[in-house]
Amino acid sequence: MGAVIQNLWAKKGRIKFPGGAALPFWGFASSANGKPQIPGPLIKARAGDLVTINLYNHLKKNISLLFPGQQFIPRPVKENGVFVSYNTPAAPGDCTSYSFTAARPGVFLYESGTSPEEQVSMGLYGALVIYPRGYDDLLSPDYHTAYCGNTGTGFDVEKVLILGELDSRLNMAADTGSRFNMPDYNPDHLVINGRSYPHTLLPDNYGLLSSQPVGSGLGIIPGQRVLLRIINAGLQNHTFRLLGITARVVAVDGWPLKADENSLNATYLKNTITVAPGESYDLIFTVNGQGQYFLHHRDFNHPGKGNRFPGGMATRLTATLFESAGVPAAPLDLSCALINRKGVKLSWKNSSTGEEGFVIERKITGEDNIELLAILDNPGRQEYTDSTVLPGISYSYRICAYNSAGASKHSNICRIDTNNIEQGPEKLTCTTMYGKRADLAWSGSNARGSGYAIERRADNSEDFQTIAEVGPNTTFYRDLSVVNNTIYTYRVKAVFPAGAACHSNECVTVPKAAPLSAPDQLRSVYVTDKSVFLVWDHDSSDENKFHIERKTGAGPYIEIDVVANSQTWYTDKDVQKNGTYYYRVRTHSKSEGFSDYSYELLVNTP
Amino acid sequence: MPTVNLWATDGYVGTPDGKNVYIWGFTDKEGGAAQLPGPAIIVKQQPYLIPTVVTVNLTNKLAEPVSLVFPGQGEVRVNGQPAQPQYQGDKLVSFINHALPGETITYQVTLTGPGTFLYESGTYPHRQVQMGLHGAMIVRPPDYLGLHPEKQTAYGRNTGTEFDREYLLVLGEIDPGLHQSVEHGLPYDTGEFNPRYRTINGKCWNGTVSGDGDGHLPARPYGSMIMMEPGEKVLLRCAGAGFESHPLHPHGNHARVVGLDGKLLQNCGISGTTDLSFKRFTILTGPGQTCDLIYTWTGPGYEPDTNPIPTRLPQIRKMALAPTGLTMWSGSPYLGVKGELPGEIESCNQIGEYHFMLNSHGVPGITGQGAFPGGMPAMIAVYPAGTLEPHHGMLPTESHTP
Repeated sequence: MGAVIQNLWAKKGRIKFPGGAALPFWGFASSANGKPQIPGPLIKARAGDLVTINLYNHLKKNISLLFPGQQFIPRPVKENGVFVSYNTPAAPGDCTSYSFTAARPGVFLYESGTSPEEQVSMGLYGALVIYPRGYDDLLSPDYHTAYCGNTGTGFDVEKVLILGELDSRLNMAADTGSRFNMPDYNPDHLVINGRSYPHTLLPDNYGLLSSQPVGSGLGIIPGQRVLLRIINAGLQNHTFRLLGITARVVAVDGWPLKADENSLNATYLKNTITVAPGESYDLIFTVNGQGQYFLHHRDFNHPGKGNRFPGGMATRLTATLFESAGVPAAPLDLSCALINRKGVKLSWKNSSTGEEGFVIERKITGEDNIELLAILDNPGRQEYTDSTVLPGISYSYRICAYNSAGASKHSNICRIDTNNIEQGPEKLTCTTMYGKRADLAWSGSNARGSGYAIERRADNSEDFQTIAEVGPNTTFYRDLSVVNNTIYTYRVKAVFPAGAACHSNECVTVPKAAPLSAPDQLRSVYVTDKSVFLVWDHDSSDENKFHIERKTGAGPYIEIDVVANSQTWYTDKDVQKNGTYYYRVRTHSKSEGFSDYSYELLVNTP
Repeated sequence: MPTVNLWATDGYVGTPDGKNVYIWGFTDKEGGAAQLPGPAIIVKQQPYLIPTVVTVNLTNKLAEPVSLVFPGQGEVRVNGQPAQPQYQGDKLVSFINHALPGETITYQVTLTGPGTFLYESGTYPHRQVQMGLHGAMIVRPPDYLGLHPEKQTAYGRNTGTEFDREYLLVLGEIDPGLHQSVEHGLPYDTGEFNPRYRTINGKCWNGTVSGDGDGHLPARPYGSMIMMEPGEKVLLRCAGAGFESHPLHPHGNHARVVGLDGKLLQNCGISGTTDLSFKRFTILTGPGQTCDLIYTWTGPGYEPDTNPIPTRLPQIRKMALAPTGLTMWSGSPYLGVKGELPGEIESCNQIGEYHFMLNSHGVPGITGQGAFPGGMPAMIAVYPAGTLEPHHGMLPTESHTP
């Protein structure tokens, strides 16, 4: 039996999320000088191996480790009769060692056992994969199996996906040593292997994500047996869907659902699984067609930062007939140019085949931080426009191509300064009155330019379109070409005969129609013991309808009829002698919904 | 091969507390309003090895792109090409090819076998699925034959899934605040999701006890009133279309889970088949997942004439459903007998049937706007033997013309 020794250094570091957000975190590094990472290093062992883990604590708090699923007896620690740690901790600056025999194959977590609500949330967790003894022996029946030869767990491709979530407020609090109130836990970053989509698509060891070294993109060949090992290191249930794929659940929590050739085959098929905190699922599937398959969180109410689709916990499987030719070649001849109204346009020559997309990196001269500006999901692109530049700054850009095998070397760096971009108009405000219009106002004089361009983006579109140009001395525009109840985003930019200019701030408005007025002066003009004739007043437009409601005695109001717009009267023929009826009327239009009710009218029949 | 025409459009649904909630949804009638859930697509699998392809034409009447994903089904083609995720610039818009506003898209969906499945929007699903763009899809086994004792099955002959009646329960939630945001074009923050209404087939208690096609809930045509006779096998097809898990529970009874995500819980090997179905008294249907269960009411020791329904009778006053003094109680513990009730209580009981609840055990799930009862209770009514029509509670064999 072999021995596996893993050294872990617990340290603090920083992790990055799409959109430029960065957070402090605590994680494990695999060397004294290495960066901490989330999740911690993947520990691999074989059944029967003696696993020894040396934990070096470079944090300011006690830290311990737990190994759920292992035959390992933790030693809980009490201080003054109160539990402070589930297992022997390492004090700050100190070291402790744990060892156990890897008893059985499976995918497991290792995680902090000291203040775990804080420390696991901060990132002190990782996965431990135990393989059958012969999994890499071509002659063994256990070759390339997750749980030995007779468990139906043979695979061609293996991928571990560690699900998790982070609450920025908890990380900020823990980093500064203050206390976070756990009942307020409401994560805003949802991650697979420590990264949020689209960072999940980037390959392993992507340079700018040095503390999040593990990608989740998968490149396979149709027909290959894929072993997906999903384990939840977070604090919440996560429902995970393999869209377009039906997988066989072959093991749960490291227990195969078919233990050997004579045992019950309890494996089953699923396309969506709910994984509880600490739980693991081993899934096996093949895909038959070429193309892209999304593996994503079905908890759409938890999309992560920005509440935008697609959310944080998503990744992609790409099936292509030919094995990836390896890491793509670097894009060539990157050039950048200022273009009017758009910002900086990057163009390059694509020299690779088999890339999944491109990554654009940007740096401001004089700053250390390189920004992961954009991840382009589609291959074959040759240009990108950065419309987020500011005037008077010198930018450097470089790009690379990536696929699941890795990221290419970087292209050449191209530098551009935006001194020639004019300051954009300022203080743009937009207001709406009732009726189909939006009023814009801004400040800034454009003495050198020829005027201002008004740009607008509707609710459902990605791109701004120029809707009008006005003269240089104008600082006001009324947009009459709007549709009510649509979200419009406006920006204004100065126009020069030559050269480029910056945009103003953006402002958002939703034009609305005047609310429907309620029907007025509801009255009964003719009452008999068989009918009640009602009349009301209303300035109705063509699309409206009137809804008549009635209640009898103390009962609820029930809608008794709907009449067309032009009809401001109604005869209720369903009444009885000596009855007491209350009526009310409201109007409805498809675009505006319901108006308020008219006042209530009491009618007593004779 | 079956063809289904769907239109994605908008509409309104009422809530028990008198609100009108704006929805998006599907309809299978051109010019119709959105219905909640979308039309149930019921199709039949072709015999072994013959591929079954369902054609779904989706016409988009909304102002943003809409698409359909079919989790659990096989390959989906659009214009003869495999369907693919759709990107705009560097952003993912849809998990699958979509229809732009005003356009029609045709999906050709290869089925993977019998079962209960979901279909839902794959475009901005955090908004569109909550707004109502979802529905259920039922695939019948190739040998399905309605009212045949051995061939009326969920998963095929000899799979142990024979049933006498079947009910589709699409589970979901409505957050009226999010719907209002969409209606008025305000920012939509799905992280603030706070579902004040939990629904079965789009309805809250006590709309859940209405039958199919009940006229006063036109946007929600599917009933969830479960009617059965003693000893009958009732197939409940639960589909979790919302964002939450819902633990459904036929009060005081157990049910056998026979399928998950539209796949039979059975394995075939050289040594024969293994039955993996299992019994539960609370059945959790997770979001985006489905669960087929078969349930039989016997009542321990129940005999039609000699031994009454074994239940401890509550105070007669507590049987009233509402302050109005209505009850479902027949007045007698014997099936088929209507007994005396105090004068001020009015019985809605028809012929001495026995009513009890099928409800969510998630406590917020049985409230509406925070008040009990509301949301997710529905009712099961056990009728005296031989009093229900054989086809009562049966979904059509196929919903759309082949």
